[in-house]
Amino acid sequence: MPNGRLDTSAAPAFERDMVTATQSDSVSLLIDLRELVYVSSAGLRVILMAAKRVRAKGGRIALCGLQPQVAEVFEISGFGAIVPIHADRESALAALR
Amino acid sequence: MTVLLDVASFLGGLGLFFTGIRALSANMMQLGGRPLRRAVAAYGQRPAVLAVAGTATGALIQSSNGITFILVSMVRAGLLPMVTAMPLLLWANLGTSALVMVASIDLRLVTLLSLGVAGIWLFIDRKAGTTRRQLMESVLAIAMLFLGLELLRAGTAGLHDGGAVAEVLDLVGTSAPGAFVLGFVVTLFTQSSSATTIIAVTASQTGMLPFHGAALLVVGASLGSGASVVLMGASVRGSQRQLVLFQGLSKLLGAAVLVALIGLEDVTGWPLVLSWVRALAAEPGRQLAFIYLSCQLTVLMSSYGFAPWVRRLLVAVAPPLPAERLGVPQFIYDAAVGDADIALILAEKEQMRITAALPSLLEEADPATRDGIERLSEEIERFLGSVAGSGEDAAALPRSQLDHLVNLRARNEVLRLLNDAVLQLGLTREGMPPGDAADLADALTQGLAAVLMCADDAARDRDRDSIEMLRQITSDRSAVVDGIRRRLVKAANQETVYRLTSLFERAVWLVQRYAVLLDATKPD
Repeated sequence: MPNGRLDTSAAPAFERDMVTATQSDSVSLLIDLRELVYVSSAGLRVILMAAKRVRAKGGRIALCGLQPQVAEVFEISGFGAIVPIHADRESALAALR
Repeated sequence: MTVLLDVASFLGGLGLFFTGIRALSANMMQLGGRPLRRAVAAYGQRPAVLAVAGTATGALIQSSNGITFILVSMVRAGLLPMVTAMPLLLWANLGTSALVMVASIDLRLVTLLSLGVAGIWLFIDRKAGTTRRQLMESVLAIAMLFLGLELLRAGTAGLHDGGAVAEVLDLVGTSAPGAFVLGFVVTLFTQSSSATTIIAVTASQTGMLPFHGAALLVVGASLGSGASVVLMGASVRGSQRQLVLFQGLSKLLGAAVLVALIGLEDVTGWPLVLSWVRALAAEPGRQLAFIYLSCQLTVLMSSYGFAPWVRRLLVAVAPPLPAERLGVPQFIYDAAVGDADIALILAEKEQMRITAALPSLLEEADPATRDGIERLSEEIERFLGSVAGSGEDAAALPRSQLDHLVNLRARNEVLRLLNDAVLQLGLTREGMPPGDAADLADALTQGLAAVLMCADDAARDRDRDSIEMLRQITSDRSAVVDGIRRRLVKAANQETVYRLTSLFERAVWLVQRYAVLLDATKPD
């Protein structure tokens, strides 16, 4: 669960986590972003790459708990069209099942 | 009273001379700048054209410093490559000899006539900005310059009788190091070795400045001109710095060679420089003019002689800036045009350098990066144009290659438009004060940068998923943008919000166009 700022300096560590999380053959991935206060283009790209890997394996991905300013960046970038965004963890888990 | 009049004549002459030479340079830069750019753009590859254009420019503008900075601005704008700018500058140095040669001739009659004609003409013809008026202003400037020299000559001759000035000039004329340093220092202030030399020519004509010292004063002035260019250009970087350092280094090389030759002549008595000049001209002023000419010839020859080492040194000392490197193709080359298959692959790789650079342009809105991208896309377009060749050549290409070619040209155009939109968005964001609108600008920037990164990934991967994702994230954004505008309708800087959102919409639409074009040529 990323927290604080997901910018150019934090993106490489987050990317490593995402690679690890998407290594198994079949995967459903929920990324809880409630602790995240800022996301930069580098952070968005890591999430999109993770979504691409999960989709390639036939899995599903979802995001939840986005703070308003983070949700706005997702909306502006159009990434919401690729990665489903849910208000909370429960609804996201329900959607992934 | 007579001494006071001589001093006034000396100072008045200097004032007229400097005003004239400055006005001449300014006018000639306006008159000659465009023709020079045209000639260089059309025939810049031919050494003879460079020699004639450079010499003519130097003769007209009469300031190697001024010419250096004209060329620096042309290199900065991408109008001139360094390989063309360097020889142009060397020949321009030679061209500055023209005024020194003319100043060594008695031109009182021509000066007064020119002054009369130009002054009356400018009084009658009041239409500003015409070429005819600029020409007459140049004639007036030349006449002022020579009238100044006449006053200077008269004042100096008067002071000669006073004794003290004559003693100082005699001391300078007989002390080689002193004369060299004086020429160097005076030129640092006048910023023109030809101006310093012309003053020395005038002093020589009155018989006050011994030839040997005066010759070294002229060599010192040449080095001073190079030093003043380096000082004035201390803030420029990359290729432009290379050009500034090249001028300084050329002058240093020329001065070093000439001082060594004069020193050798002094010691051995071999006729190397001064004896030849004495044989060529008897009149002291003319002799100095020939020394100036030899100085510029030595700069020219030594710089051509050492050119490969000088270029390597300059690249090591002042490497090209990242934005400059961006503008130089790394994949496409003229010989590849003949094989359309390879040519199209290379052009596509070159285009990927643009998609990779666009996100960084958004993060740091540097117009130099935008210019680098623009130059690269122009090169790609020129290359693709050559691959297409004439109508018959294009028709000879197989259908798949023709489609690919047309697609790449369309992509190139989209990337050029995107380059402008991205820079404008970045610049608008940078000027915003903190607040809601600035937060929005940051969100738009991060969002668009992510979209641009995806476009770069899609261009490299070329797989169905990447392109489809790019199409999805660049789908119609008008609802989102309208929502933002409504939310910030009461923001203080509404104009900026509107501009930002419009630029964002435009950029996203262009990326969508790019995705459609990528989709049309993706591998099966």
